[in-house]
Amino acid sequence: MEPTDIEKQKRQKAMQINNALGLFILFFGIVVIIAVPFSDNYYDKMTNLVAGVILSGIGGGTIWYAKRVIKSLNIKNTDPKDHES
Amino acid sequence: MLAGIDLFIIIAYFAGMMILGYYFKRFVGNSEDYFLGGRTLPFWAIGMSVVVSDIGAMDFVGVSGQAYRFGVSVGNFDWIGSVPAMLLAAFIFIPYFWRGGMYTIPEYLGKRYNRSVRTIASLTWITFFAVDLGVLFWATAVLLNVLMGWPVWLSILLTAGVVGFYTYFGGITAVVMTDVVQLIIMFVGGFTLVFLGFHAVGGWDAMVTKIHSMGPEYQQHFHLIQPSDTKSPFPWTGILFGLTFVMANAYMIGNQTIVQRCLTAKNEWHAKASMIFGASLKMLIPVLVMFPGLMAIILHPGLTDGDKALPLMIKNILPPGLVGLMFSAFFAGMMSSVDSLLNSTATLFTKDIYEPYIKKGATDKHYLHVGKITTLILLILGVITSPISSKYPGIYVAVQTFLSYFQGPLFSILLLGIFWKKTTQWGGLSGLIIGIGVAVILNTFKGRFFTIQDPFLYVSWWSFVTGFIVTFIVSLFTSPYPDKKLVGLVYNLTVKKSNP
Repeated sequence: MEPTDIEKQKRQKAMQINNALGLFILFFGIVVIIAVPFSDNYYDKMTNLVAGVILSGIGGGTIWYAKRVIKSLNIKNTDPKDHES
Repeated sequence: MLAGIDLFIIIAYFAGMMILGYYFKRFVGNSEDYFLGGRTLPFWAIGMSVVVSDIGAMDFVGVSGQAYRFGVSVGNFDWIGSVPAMLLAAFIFIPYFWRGGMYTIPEYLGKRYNRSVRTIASLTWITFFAVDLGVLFWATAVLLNVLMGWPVWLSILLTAGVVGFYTYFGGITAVVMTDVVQLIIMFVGGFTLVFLGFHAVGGWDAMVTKIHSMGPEYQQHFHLIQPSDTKSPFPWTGILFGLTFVMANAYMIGNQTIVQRCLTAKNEWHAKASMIFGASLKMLIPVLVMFPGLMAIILHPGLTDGDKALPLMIKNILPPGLVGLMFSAFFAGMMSSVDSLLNSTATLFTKDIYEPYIKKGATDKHYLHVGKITTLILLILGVITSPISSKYPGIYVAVQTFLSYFQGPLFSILLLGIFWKKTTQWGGLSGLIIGIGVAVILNTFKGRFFTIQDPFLYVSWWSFVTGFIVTFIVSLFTSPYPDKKLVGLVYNLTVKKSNP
């Protein structure tokens, strides 16, 4: 069954939130990866690298999923403020 | 001292939280959006938020410290002390509150009993939250001063500014979603610490053997159940009766900050699933906060203050970068507790006090505005009153203990109200007032009634029992509401209605 416009807008809102969350977590993942050269030894470097990649993976994955769903909803205007009017 | 990259991460974290919170402003169009997120939030976000709001910076350090001193029995607070209560909330209580379209728990009590019960319950929560806010600001700022050397006022103003900013603009959506980020950061940093900690102590078996060989005082460290005459604050009797039967249920079922999150769910399934998902995450919390405390017994033996165990572990085990991430998690712990208090108090005041008593029938925009202004006023009050805590060293413990006292009577009337249709409005009112009164008396004269120094688990149990018995007896002698009025509010009436 085709979702109604209201359901689409709710889903779009949820995905916009996920997108923002993903962006924030990805940013932190990248910062932790940047910290790799600042680490003293091999273990510390690998620890930062693994933690950074995990955070980036969670963030990147969330962004990818959110963008894919927003695209599939096929709503031209993505700003919820405009839909209220 | 923190490395440059760690400071950069902490500053980036603050900036990021503000940007993220401000972004959520676009989703706030009316008061339902502000207080309940427009009832559109998914279970995983709510579940994460429930868990992270429960862990403040003080808990992070305190639980590790208690694990250092008393062993794994402190894990009871998150395992037996939370998981059964969360499952009970998910399957029995949350569906009622969600179906009823309520904003607050006192709102349910008002419908089930009367306006006086609603007002007393609401005012008790508002007073507690408002006082707790200042205490929380101060306690955490002192902790951060010890850990990072930051001036107390800098920590207070910085955290108040950031939390106030995103809570004011984004409402509960910002609160829940920033909690999600905070939990992910906490888990990644925490599990890395545990993994590297196990590597340092030689694994679980080696850790157990080494701790047991350190002396007779460590023989009980891996016993989850402690005898009733234990010197630790966790005797099995207190854990079972006070924590499992009363405090845990009262916290997960009767606490506005917890329940309000579940009411933001997009449907009843999501509301239930959020608690179940939260319970599964909760089981991992002791691993994150308790294990570093146990590892510190081997890596940093002989600490006079067990609360230093976790900060020492972070500084010595984690590399630069992740240290910043873990200290951000400390701030995250504080921010999630403060944002919950702010938003829930604003909701309680607007819905239970302002709307029925001060201005009835105003526009939705007006109530949204009131909610925002209340958030702002509370924040300013919290910052201004926070130094008072420094003059009363025991105030943090006193305020937290007070919570356990009124939660017992509140839970007793909630329980009877939902499961027994003959519970009357006068039964509920007297049970609440006398229950709180008994808790205050037991606490004031605790030396006469209890042998242990801090009997808050026992006090919460006996105040619950008193509230329950008083409500029951008074209800027997007063007239209950007709069944028609109680449909949707009492368990068996709702079941009959949905399955004729």
